[in-house]
Amino acid sequence: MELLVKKAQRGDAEAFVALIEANKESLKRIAFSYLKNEEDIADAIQETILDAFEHIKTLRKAVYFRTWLVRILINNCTKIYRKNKAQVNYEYTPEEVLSDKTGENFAIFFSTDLEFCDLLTRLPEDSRTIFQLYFGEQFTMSEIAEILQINENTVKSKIHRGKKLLRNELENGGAR
Amino acid sequence: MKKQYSDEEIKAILSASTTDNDVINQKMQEAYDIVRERATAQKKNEKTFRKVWYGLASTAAVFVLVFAVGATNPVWAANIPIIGSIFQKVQELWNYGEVPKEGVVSLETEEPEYVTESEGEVYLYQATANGVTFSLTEYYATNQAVFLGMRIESEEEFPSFHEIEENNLLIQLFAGADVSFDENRLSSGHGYLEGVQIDEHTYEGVLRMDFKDMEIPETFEMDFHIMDVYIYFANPEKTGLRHETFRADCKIENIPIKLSGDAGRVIEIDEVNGDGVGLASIEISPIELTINPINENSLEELVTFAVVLDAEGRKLEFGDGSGENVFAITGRDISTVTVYVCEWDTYMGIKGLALEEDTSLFQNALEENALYKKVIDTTEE
Repeated sequence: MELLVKKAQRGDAEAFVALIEANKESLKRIAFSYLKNEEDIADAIQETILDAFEHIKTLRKAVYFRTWLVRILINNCTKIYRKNKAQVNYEYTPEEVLSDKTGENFAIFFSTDLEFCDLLTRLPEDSRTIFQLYFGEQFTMSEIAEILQINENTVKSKIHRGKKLLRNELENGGAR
Repeated sequence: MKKQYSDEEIKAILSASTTDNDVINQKMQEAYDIVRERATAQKKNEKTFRKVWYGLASTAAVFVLVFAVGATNPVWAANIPIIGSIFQKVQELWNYGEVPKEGVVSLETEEPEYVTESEGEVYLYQATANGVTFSLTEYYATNQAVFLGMRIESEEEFPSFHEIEENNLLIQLFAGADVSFDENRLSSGHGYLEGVQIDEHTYEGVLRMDFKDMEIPETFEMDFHIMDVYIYFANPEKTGLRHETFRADCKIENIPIKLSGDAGRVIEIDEVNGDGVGLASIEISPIELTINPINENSLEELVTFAVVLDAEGRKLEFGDGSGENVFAITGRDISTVTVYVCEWDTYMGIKGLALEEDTSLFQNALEENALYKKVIDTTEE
């Protein structure tokens, strides 16, 4: 990957495209954890690709490409999220677990089964991206803190609380 | 429905492949096409485009100093010509290119000059905290910024140097400054320190200290506060970023700054249109151009983005570590510049046109979409 990054930094478009393709699944999954419809997800990814290419020379170390790319994606997701007048609320209530995302709708374009989508919809809004980054993309808590610009202890707390909430939800309610 | 998920099951579910989606695929394909077009355009402009660094938010209460350190060809401390060399070392690394030599002032020219002791060099403008010594060696000052040459030495090896792939290291400093012409601490602005690694203990680089929105006198004194040092390095366990933080609370006082002979000038515009958008002034130095746009509706969430085209209609690029509204002008014809202020989202929609070979496409889009436009003849006195 690092060779591709260096090539991309020298302006090699095909190397850059290869890098994005290698991270395409992660980009889709992370954007899905943030946004509500496929148009928004597609816009966020498109903008991320363009921003990343425009700024790739500013990436000091090739080894950080993935972290850096995800950071750009999160920024773009946030912009779209705000634009849609959705409110980011870092203090969640159990009621917020029941989001307006429906597993069925998103499974149509996102996953071959409902499990992925159902799992995400059961998580608090603010924990979805953290769960996705931690479990789905295997970033460390420290990296997630860097990506989301939040305290590492907050990441730990949200993972812990999210798991607890998820467990309670499944035990108490089962399928929505 | 399962009643419990183990961590491993959550991982398996959340890392599952997604199904193809036409909307996403189409948007990605569009982006790839634009990337390919831009890459072609960039190659044509290769000689004039150097590495571009983009700044952080300009409202930070501290300077954020970042420099990348390449140790592929380390030069050991004993072999280094110390004084006056840092600008030369970084000129190939940054967008500003060569800083006018006649404007660079050594901070070691006045008595007492640095002396060599058995433990190393002692500089006139130097401070040490927690085993890390910061030495100021030279500067270049314009009406917009002070570029400060700095040497950082650590008694202990900088941490985890050996873990770093390709021997590259990223260091971030948090610092602030007091200036004698303003009783209040300089509370905004930031700069990147572009530098090179000398050895495991030593780094050298140039810091751009932003004085945007301030009237800088010809001479003044500055106190430079360094608070934290962040050293970023590769996570040995997996791809990613780790950093260690060092408190390095120290202060270098009474640094005498004198603007270079060609420090630059300010062109006052002071114009606002019916939308509350306009331009207060532009500032031009030998290496950069700063614009001071006006957005009277910023509190009502009108977010704007300003663009400057040179006399050939080409978009100026940000200066290294300068943040928005400061542009590098090395090699560009700025006899006439055109400033456009756009609504943020609108600009994001048209910015890709900037790299088209046909510069009129971007300019036309700006003409159609900008909230404010101003053509400025910079040759007029």
